[in-house]
Amino acid sequence: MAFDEKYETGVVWQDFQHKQLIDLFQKIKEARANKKDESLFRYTVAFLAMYVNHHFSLEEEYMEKYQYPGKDTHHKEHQAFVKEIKAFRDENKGYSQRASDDLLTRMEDWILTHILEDDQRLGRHIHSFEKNRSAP
Amino acid sequence: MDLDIQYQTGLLWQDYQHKEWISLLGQLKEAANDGQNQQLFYEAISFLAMYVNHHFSVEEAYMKQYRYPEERFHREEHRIYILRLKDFREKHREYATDVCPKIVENMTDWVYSHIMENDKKLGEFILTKEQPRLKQS
Ligand SMILES: [Fe+2]
Ligand SMILES: [Fe+2]
Ligand SMILES: [Fe+2]
Ligand SMILES: [Fe+2]
Repeated sequence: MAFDEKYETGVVWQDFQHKQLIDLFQKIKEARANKKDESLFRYTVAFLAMYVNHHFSLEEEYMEKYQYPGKDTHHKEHQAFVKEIKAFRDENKGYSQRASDDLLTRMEDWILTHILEDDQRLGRHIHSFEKNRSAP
Repeated sequence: MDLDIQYQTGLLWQDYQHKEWISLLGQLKEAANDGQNQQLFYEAISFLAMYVNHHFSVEEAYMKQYRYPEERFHREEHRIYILRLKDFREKHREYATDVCPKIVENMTDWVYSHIMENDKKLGEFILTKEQPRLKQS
């Protein structure tokens, strides 16, 4: 699956962070196909924990200061994913092929339903809140 | 804790990351003063290095996006800091216990002066491209 530029909102910091996650997803997916995903799996699990913490806080800072109407729903989505990742870590202490497949499914789902949908809407709102900007 | 007003650029993402960066340095300093737990200290530097790398990359993405005239110089400042951090991460075990907290202090001073001399200019430039319709509180 190629996400091309569909994930881009034109909000530079947000696009940068989304691209990071999408790139990592594509990398581990490829490694999984080649059965060389064990070390990348470990990295991804550790990375996700830090990533969501920072990325979500930042999006939430914007939602708050820019009075985003969909704030509450969006915030709940974030919380649900944080929970999901935490539960995943608790269930999977180490690497297994099943765990890796599971992680891939969850990441893909997040990219498709949240980054390409909800975050797009948020990005457009950020745009509309900043003057001197061309439309995304 | 909010970033002191004089260090704010007015860009939410940038102020947020600067605030976190300084708080990570605070944690690193505590770990350095403690001096007991080497592993904790190493983890704190590693985390800081990742964070700083990310922060610089985002600023550099903005510079590229909006063709910032002082990009070359600003990038060079970032590169120097990354090298210092890398050096510290590799060598901190060889230093005497009182040296580490001093180095962390210097690295913190660097952040403040980098913000004043470089990031505020960059922030002002970015704001000419994307000005929020609200007063920053
Ligand atoms: Fe989001
Ligand atoms: Fe996001
Ligand atoms: Fe900065
Ligand atoms: Fe900078």
